[in-house]
Amino acid sequence: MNTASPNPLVWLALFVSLSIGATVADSARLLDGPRQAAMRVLAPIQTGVSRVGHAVTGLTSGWSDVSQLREENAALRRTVDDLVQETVNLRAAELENRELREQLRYARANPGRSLVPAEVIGLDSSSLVGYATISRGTEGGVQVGMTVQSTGGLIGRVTSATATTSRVLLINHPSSAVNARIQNNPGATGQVLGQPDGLLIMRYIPQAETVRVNDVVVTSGLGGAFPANVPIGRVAHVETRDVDLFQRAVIEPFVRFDKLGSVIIDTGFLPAKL
Amino acid sequence: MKTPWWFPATLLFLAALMQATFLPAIGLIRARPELVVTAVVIWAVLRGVKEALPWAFAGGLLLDVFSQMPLGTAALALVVVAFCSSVGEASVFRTNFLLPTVIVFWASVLYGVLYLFLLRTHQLPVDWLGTLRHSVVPSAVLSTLFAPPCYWLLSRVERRTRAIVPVEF
Repeated sequence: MNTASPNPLVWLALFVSLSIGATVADSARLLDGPRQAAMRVLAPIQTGVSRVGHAVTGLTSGWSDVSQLREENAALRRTVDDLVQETVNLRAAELENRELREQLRYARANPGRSLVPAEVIGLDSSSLVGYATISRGTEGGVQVGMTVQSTGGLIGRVTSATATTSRVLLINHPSSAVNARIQNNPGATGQVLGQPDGLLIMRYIPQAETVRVNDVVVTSGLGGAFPANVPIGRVAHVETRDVDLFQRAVIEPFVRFDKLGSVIIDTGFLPAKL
Repeated sequence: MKTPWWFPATLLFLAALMQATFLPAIGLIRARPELVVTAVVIWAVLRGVKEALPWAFAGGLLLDVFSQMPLGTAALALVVVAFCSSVGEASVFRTNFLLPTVIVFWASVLYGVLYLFLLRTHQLPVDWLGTLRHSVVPSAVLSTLFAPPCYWLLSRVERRTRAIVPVEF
C-alpha cells in the first residue's frame, strides 16, 4: 500500500516557522520563565560535566608532565643555587612586603571591591563567538556590565544574566575593547582589542611614549567600563613606525582563555553610564 | 518501525551537553566538532527530512539553551542544514559512510555561516573572516573526522528501527 508522504517543503516551512517563532518569543521575553526554569535544572548538570572536563584535562596534562619531570629536576637544581643568592635580596623585599601588607589592610578596611567566585560551566556551543557561561547569576548579586577576572587577570564582562548563570563576553573576542595603559608608564594609554587567534592587540598608544617588551598592561579605568589597574597581559611585541600617529603592541594575555576554570566577579563595580 | 522518541532526545541532549560544556572544558583547541550537526545530518541522510527536521529543531533549541544564545538561532540554522542534507537520502550511496562524511563537512560549513548570519541579525558582533578561518572550517574538519564513528552508530540504530515494507505484486 502506498501512503502519501507529506511534501518536504511543508515540513521545512513548519520547522522554520517554529524556530522563528521561538526567536521572536525569546526576544519579546515571553520565554524567560521556562528558560530560567530550564537553566535551574541544567546549570548543576553543566557544572558537573564541566568539572569532569577539567579533571580530564588535568589527567592528560599530568601524563605529559611525567616526561618533562627529569629535565625540570635538573633545571631546578641549578635554580636552587641561584636562589641562595637571591635570599639576600629577599631580606630587602621583606621590608617592602611589610609596607604592602599595610596597604592591603587598608584596602580590606575599605571594601570598594567585593569579589564573588564562580565557575565557567560552558563556552559558546560553536566556538564562533567569544562568550563563556559562568555558574552565578542575579541571585548571586551578578549584574550586566560587571567585570569578570581570574587570579591572573581580566577575562571579560557580563553581558546577560539569568537567576543562576551569566554570559560573559571575553576580552579576546574581536568585538571587545578595553581601555588600558602600560603599568609603569601611565602616559602610555591605548585600547586593547581581541583578535580571532586569541591574542590581544593594544592600539592607539601615543608615539611619544616608551613601550617595551614584557611591560605589564593593566586597565586604565577610562570610560568607566572596567575598574582601573586590573592586569590584562604582557607586551610581547611592539610595532612602531615613524609614519603612524600611534604605536601598536601585541599583548600576551595573563589568562588562558582556552582553559578557563574558576573566575571572580567584581560585584562592587558597575560600569558608568556615560 | 518509527524511532522511539527517547532515543533522539537522549542522544541530542548528550551531544549538546558535550558540545557546549565538556569539550570547552577540555580546551585543547578553539575549534570543536559540531556533534549535534553531525548527528542530525547523518540521520537526515539515513531517514530523510521527515525525521531529521524534528531532530534538528530540538537539537538546536538545546544548543541555544546550553550556550545562552537567543532561542531559535541554532534551531533555525540546523533545520535548514538538515533539510539540505536530506537530499543524501535519495542517493544510492547513502549506505556508504563516505557520502554522509562528505555531507557532514559541507553541512558544518553551511551551519557555521548560517549561525553567524543569524547572530548578526540579533545585533551580535561577528568577525566573519577570522571566525570562518579559525573556527568554522577547523570545526567542519573535526566534525568530518567524527562523522564515520557517528555514522556507524546511527546506521546500526537505523537498521534496527527500519520499517519492513511488504512487497505487493
